[in-house]
Amino acid sequence: MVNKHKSRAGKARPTFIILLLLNFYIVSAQDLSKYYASIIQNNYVLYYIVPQKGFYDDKNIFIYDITYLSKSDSITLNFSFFNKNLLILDSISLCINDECVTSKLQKIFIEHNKNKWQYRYSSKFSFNFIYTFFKENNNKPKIILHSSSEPILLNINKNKWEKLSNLNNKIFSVIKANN
Amino acid sequence: MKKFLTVTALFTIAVILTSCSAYVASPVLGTIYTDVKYPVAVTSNSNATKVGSSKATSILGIIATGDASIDKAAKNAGITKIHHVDARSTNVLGVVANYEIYVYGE
Repeated sequence: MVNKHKSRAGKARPTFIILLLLNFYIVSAQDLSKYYASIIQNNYVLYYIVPQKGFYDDKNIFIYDITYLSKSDSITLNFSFFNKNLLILDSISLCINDECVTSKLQKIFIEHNKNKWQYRYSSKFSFNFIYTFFKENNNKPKIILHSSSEPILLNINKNKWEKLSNLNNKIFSVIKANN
Repeated sequence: MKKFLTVTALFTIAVILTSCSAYVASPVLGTIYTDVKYPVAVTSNSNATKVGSSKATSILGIIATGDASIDKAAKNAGITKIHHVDARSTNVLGVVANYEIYVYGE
């Protein structure tokens, strides 16, 4: 009897270790500081939301990051767009609930790597609009890149958007609370 | 027989984990899980208004790709004057390791 009991306890150990490791992963996934950084300056706090991806057009990837100086009205959205064709991007529109806000683009650099062009641009949006944009997790948003030729429509997967909007909503709530 | 199989399985796992595990530089080591942010450099320039990042990834210590240079991070944000540089190392079970560089400046 005793021996049987001992062998069962031995079998439970790997499961316990796996659950412990999963727990580590889940706890770390909920850690907001993993997704943004903030530094205190003389008169303001500089926030940086690390690069996020999810929006795409066919096989072309769109990666963006957000910088915000506390107490200012606008945020800076820098992005990289990878495309096989050489384009001249002019502006970017963020659309949610049939409402689109457009911002002029400022070029940072354009490079050619591994058969694709990398477009790195900077744009500015109002803090309140971006806050509303990420607060909406029921409807999927759209991003439109206006180029010299036809506009490029970027979509996002519904599950991915739910995760991104929840995460960014929490980060912007932290920023708003400290503003 | 069961004991033999258990020992063999544990030995195999140990061999896999020691010879094929992703490693990332960090001031403190976590064998199972690492998520550490630490300083790299500071300059005398004041006031940072821009932040840029760059990243390199290693999978199982077999494949390592990316550009985690200060140059790349600064370029990504259009930074010409660097205020300070931070790094973040993450490693999960030696399977995936990331090394990220954050450059603050203007």
